[in-house]
Amino acid sequence: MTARTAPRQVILLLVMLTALCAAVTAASSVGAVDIVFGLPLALFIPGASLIWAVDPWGLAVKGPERIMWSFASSIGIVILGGLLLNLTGGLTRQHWLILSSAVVAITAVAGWLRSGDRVGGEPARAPSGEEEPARWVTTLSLRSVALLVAAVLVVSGVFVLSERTNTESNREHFVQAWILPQPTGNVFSTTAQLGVRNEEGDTEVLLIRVKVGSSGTSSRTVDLRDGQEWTRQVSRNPGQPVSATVAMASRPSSILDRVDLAKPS
Amino acid sequence: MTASVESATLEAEEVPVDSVTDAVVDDGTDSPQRGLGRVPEVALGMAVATIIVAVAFAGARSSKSWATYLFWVGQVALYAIPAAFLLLRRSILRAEAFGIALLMPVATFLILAYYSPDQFRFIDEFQHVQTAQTILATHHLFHTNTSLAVSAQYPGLEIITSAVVAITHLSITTSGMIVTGIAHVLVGLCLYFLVLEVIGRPRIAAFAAVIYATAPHYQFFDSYFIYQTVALPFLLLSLLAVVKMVKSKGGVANAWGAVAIASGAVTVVSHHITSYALVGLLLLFVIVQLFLPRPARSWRLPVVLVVVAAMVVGWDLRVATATLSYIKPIIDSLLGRHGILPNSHKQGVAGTLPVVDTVWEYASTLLLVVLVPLGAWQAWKARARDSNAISLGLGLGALSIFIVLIVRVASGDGSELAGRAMSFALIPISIVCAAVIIDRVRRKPDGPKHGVPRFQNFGMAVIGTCVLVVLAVGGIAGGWPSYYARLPGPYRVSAYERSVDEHNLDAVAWAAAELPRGGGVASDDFTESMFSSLGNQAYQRNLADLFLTTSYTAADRTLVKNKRITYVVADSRITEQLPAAGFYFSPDPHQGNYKKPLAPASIDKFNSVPGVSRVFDDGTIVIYDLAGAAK
Repeated sequence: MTARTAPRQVILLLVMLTALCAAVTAASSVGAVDIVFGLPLALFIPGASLIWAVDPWGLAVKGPERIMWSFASSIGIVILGGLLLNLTGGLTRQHWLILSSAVVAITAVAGWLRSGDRVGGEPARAPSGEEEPARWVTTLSLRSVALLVAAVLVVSGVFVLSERTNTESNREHFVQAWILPQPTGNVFSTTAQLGVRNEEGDTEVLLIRVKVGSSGTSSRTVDLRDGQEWTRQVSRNPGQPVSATVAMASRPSSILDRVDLAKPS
Repeated sequence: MTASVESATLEAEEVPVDSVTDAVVDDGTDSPQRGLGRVPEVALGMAVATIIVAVAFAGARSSKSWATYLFWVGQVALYAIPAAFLLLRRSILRAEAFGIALLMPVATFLILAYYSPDQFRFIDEFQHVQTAQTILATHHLFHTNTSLAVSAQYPGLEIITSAVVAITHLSITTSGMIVTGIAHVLVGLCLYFLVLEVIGRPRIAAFAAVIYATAPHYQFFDSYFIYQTVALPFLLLSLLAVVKMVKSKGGVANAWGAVAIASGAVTVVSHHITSYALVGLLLLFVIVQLFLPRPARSWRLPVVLVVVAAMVVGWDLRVATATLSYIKPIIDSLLGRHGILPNSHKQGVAGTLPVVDTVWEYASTLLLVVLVPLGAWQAWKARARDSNAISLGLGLGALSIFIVLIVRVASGDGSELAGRAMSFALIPISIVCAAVIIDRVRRKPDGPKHGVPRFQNFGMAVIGTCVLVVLAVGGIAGGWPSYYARLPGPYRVSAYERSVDEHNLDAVAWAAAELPRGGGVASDDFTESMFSSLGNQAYQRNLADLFLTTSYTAADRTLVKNKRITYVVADSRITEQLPAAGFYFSPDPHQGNYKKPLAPASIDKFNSVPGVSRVFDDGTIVIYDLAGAAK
């Protein structure tokens, strides 16, 4: 029962890998670490563990088909497991880690028990009529490796090219302005939020003019970095109109945006 | 089908060795000495083909005229390289066949990634983003989706994506691309192993995977962040498990039956149409096995069918209660009545649909119409010999090409519906066509029995490669994205993938953060869809009249009241450009007939309506709040 058969070695490896990934992911707050250790935990290990539990000796699926089933099973486990989590504690990060670990633990026990009757590291002969399990053996020549590396490098380079041309061509230059009664939807509110966001792609000095009711216009300039937002609460009488314009401080006559709160009719 | 195909390919492989130094290896024989065979060369060739497409995309972003030509060169190379390899090579290693089945979906997904490396671009994707956002925010499923109610009721894609987001802290976009990328690759591999299980010839299996990759929606639509993308591989996995079940006995068969049901369950909770397609295929297998000798029948097949069908019915009646109302307009469209899909939006602005696109599309369909009956007839003839329900069912299932053809020609939005149907119909069609083409190309020619020169079948192989290229070009021409968005580029009004830019994405992000959830929004269809899906606002149809007048009338006021419109989102570009898809609104009474853009007054009129506030402005998009206007 405790013999280290070949499947048991793989199952043990999967359990250790799961423990490592779950522990590191749970403790980590570094993005790259979460990705490296989290992705296999969600998309590969639970399925691989299930496959090794169901078919420890590779009689039914083998080679690349086994890897395909591992990915697919993991996705299936997560989807059906998500339905289960919805009925219990919810789809939280903690529960996902527990689910993945629990699936691996349960399937590992099942796989361990199912692979115990063939000791010595060699699978027994398949039942008559069934196909003998085949090993996925391959050798890689230096030339093959070089060609594959070239293909990967080429694809990576092109991906960077696509990323850059996509970013450059889609870049728009504009300034957002908004004014909303506070609370939103209350047209008779006594305060309003005025906001401006710079999407020009560079730091800009913006001239903001505000007029409340029939009073005079107040102006101020703000320096905003690209992507930076500026907001201000504006007081008014209930339902009093408020209007604002935004322009570049360098070109005050060229209005970029115009917003207003109208008097309710 | 099994018998005929195997005999055909076995004939083809009985090629005498004509060179001592270049021993012929039978199809599928693993030879450790040969390693990956020519996979690295094919991989490099296909990588170069994707580069050509990527350079075309880069040129299109700069509005270069040569971009379109380069795009087609790259696409033709992408399909011709694996096809020529599979048809011209005298022997194929199992690793080479598998390598092509793997490389094809990888390469095609790369093209999608090159098109938009950092952002979803298809309107429907945003609907599923909202479901994923809601799951991440509430940690529970089945909350209301303001844009697409059924999205929340088939949460398979969003569950796995939100799990990846939760565990890795990646964004929904990146996580979604990883998930859909894996699903896309799984489709190619599942089909390869399915064909390998049914026919047993790696060459045919790989060629079927390449033919399936010519499906009109394969490169883009079936790889988008939409629920069908994750359901498709599980449909194929269920079929693969069924094949293994039928070929096995006893406990092993029972186990594969359980796998088929489990895969079916994932399909059922992921996508409605895909689950119906699975039930349809299982039903076909059950029916055709009645025509087989009694020993070839499997009692487990009807059991799997009943269980999967029960899951579909149970899910649709108990959980996915919005399915019927979602499907009905599509059925109306199928029957020729105007449905949810804008009628013939591929047509674009009147008279702008390139005729050459239609020619290629019909040429590819014609090829399938010719090839399919040949394969179906072979499958029917082989039913009394070494056949089973799956091989016969897939052989006869390929005849669904004629149903797709009828839909294409006769229904309200034939091109769109036929394209979507082909994602399912091409499963059996690709298998049958691959068998027929390989049979013809690899058939031992009549004549002397003493040997076949290396390229005796060269002519047939070239013809086979050309057939595959026509299928691919026709699939792309008739598929998704439509011609006006086939290559990326500057913003265009009503152009699906080309109608997403920083202006509307940032405006939508502002709306999601600042506006109350569920408010009614009126706008052009694409802007409204984005505000509904990413901005969490309610989606309303039949709002064209609000924008087709140049003054705010009593009828407009009534429309606003009846539709509970709170915000009007006016994108000034609808007054500057004609709609690429032929319509601004859904539905649009002037669809396909616009000769000039809308008048500026059609959106500027809201500035002068008493009580209407102009709450947002970015120079291009203005949002009006109608809460203070008289009702």
